Amino acid sequence: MNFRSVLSTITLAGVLAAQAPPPAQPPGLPDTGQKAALMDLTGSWVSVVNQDWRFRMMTPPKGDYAQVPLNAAARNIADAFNPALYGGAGYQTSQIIDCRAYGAAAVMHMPTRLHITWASPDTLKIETDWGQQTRLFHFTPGRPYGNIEQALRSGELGTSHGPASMQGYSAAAWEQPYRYNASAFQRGPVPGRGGGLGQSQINVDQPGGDLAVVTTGLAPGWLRRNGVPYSSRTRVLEHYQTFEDPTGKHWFDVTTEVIDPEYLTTPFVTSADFQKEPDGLKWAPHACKQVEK
Amino acid sequence: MGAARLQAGGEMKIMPKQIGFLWSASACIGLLSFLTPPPAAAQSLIDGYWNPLLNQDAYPYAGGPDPGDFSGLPITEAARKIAQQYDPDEQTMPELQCRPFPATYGPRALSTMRVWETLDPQTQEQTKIETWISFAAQHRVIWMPASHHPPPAPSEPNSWQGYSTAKWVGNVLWVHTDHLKEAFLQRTDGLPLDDKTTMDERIFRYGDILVDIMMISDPQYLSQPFVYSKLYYHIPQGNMDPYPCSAHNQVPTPQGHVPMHLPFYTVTYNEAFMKKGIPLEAARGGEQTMFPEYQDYLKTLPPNPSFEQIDAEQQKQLAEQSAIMQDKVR
Repeated sequence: MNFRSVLSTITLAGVLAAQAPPPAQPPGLPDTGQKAALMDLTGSWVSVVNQDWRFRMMTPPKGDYAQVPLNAAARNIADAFNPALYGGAGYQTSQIIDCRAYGAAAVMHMPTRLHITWASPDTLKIETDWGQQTRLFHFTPGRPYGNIEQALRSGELGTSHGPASMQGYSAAAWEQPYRYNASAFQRGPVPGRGGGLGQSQINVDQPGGDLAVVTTGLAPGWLRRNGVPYSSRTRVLEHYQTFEDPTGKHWFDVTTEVIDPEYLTTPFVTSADFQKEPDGLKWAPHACKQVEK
Repeated sequence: MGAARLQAGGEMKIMPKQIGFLWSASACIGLLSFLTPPPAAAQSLIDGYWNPLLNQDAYPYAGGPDPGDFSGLPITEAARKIAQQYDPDEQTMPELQCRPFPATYGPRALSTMRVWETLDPQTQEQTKIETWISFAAQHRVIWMPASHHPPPAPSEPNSWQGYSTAKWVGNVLWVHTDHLKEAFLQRTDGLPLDDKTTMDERIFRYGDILVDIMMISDPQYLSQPFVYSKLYYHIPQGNMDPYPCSAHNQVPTPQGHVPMHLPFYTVTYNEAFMKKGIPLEAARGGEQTMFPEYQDYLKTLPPNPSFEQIDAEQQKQLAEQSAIMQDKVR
């Protein structure tokens, strides 16, 4: 084997390394969702509603579905909303809220307090006081890290996990930083820069990262309190990121992408911000209304 | 060259010489990639063209919020008083038609944004990240530590874009901005921001979605930081139109006339938000309107009065204030 052949082999190995999927998790790394957590989401949180106030804090007027990319079928459903079932003339502020507005595609956008705990080493539980919902984020045992979007595209996620429900089935993974720039030609940590870790370093502990969640198996629900629908074919992709404000208060931001081939012409993408509270003293359960369909 | 050599009966080469050289060179690169330390720099995660996502808060940032609707905003009483005198016709004043947007507002406005980086040619470290937002031609420079760029001297005036510095923490860009001119929190409702305002941002992306969490602090006009997450999506082949702006006398008005409202007379600007069902009291804003428990309070509020009732009540207040002023003059 001459020198050129050696070089060629190494080159090929380098290229293959760049194209190969991330290596299996090396032994010794955290193997549960709880141990592997890239951020602490547990505790008491309150939503801070300073965007879309009139769509979130109140029931918008019947037929007001501004900003939601609905198709004609969905608009017909939204137009059938019946204010009489939700307080009549005062329905916008009556706070009689249909439980369908608290489905997984919309619940994080609703004004509510959250109580977040680890229900098991691989299950993160989110409870809401308004609407009294419970969400369970399931990490894959032994594989707490991953690329949720890639798994969704490859069909690894999205399979049925029982009958459809308002909160559906949520698969979760911690997404480590730098994965967008991972390549064989950027190896090792790059301090103080916006990217650049190679495949060989993809499981090395670095600051940043996020929690990604994909929810499927949903029963039909509402994107807004005034009957703007989403279908049972909906998939919800969420990303969670924590941060601190200049006064030292802790927050998390959740970006929610609702993909519904039945009622939405494009994905519906929103975000919501939650502020951490020292305790659960302001927890105030409010039941939602099961209105006859 | 290689093919010509074969035809000429020369030494047989499977690949042309240049390609062979390139193959060897690339092989060397492959080898080096395993043997050398990591590069000192990497591509920024946020370069490129970005369009704002219109699924949330498009209503206050497209045409501007309804005047007088401050619901969900942590404003102080001082800010409310100033905003209640604001008249949207102010936008037609030639002096203000081409007024730039401040850094605290520009990213929230609905306009294409381009982001690019500058690298030190020797070290390949980022020295600055720049943004250009199409509407109002907003050009912002974010200085990175490698630039060693000093803050503005005390004698330098504050600017619309201010002085921004940043650092990467993992894959999140932390930006701090100060030295901002006195400006506005939202464009068409008159809410002010003081020139002591600062802004901290956390900028990151999920695939093709860019998130800019803006935390605006202004002790004068905000009772707590205004935390706002703005979403953009990536456009792979983006472009941007120029933004020529020239002032015209769109609505003939006497020279020196500044449109405004008397502080006690808010009937005209109540109309738009009242039609959406927002209670008058909620529209006054304040941090209490941001939290879930405000929903319980909302249902205790009486229905909004009619415009005629509001008009009569506010005319009465005006007359009382006028009488008080006249007494003071006497």
